[in-house]
Amino acid sequence: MAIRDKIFAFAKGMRGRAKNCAKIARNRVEKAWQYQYRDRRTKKRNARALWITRINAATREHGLKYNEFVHGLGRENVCVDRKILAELAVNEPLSFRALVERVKTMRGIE
Amino acid sequence: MLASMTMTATTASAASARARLSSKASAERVGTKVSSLIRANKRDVRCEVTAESSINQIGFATPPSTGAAPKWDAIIEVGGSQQFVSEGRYYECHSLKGVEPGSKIAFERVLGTHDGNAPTWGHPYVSGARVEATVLENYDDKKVIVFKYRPKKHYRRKNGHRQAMTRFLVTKVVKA
Repeated sequence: MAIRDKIFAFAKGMRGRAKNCAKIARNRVEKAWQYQYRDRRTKKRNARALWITRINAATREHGLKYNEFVHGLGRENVCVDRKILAELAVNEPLSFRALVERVKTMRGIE
Repeated sequence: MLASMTMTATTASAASARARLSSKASAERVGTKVSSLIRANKRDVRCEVTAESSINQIGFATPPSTGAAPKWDAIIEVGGSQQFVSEGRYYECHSLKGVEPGSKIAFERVLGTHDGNAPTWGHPYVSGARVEATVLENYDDKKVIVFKYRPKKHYRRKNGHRQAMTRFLVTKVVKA
């Protein structure tokens, strides 16, 4: 495939002349690549923020806050990361609740 | 889950190449053990399975939009990320060094196990738990274009990157 064809393949779905005209497509495609470079990094940040929000919401249902929960996990040396915790909080609330209750008993009955 | 699995055998690979795998130093760096290296039949086996979405994306996981939550047997730490695993499914991770397709490996860093009733959490790892797996293939991930550009400064760089990955099939989860 020629380079121009590769550019057009990447420019599918773009608006207006960007998908049809070579010079404009080249500009937009390069911009897309720059955004991808930047956003591969921000994707990780956004994911972690989302996990923390979910864990926060789930622990507050059981009377703990996120910071207390994570501190309790650190004291118990449970090294499960936030991706796993958020996944559990959404899909397996009972398991997550067991973990929250355990942290609560460890900190003293709250 | 792997009910529609079909095995296709590729060309035979030299058994002597696998003997080179007995260097445990490189495997232990990644935290896995290469317990037995030579399979009974010397053909590489590639498993083609229906694309059921794994809940373990390397970046992050999103909850399944429909249906029941995926069952898991253990949470392991592999390739720099933590993953849910269950028996009989295959998973991907960043490439494990020095492990060839068909060899058996075991993951010793198990953060939690689940036996249908309640999960057991390790502090940090569950003692005595391990996940045994067979390496299916070492492959390169889809190409990612790395493009750096500074406007008006006559600077642009374009590179492609394919991350080396390993696909492994979990054969057994020991929970004790």
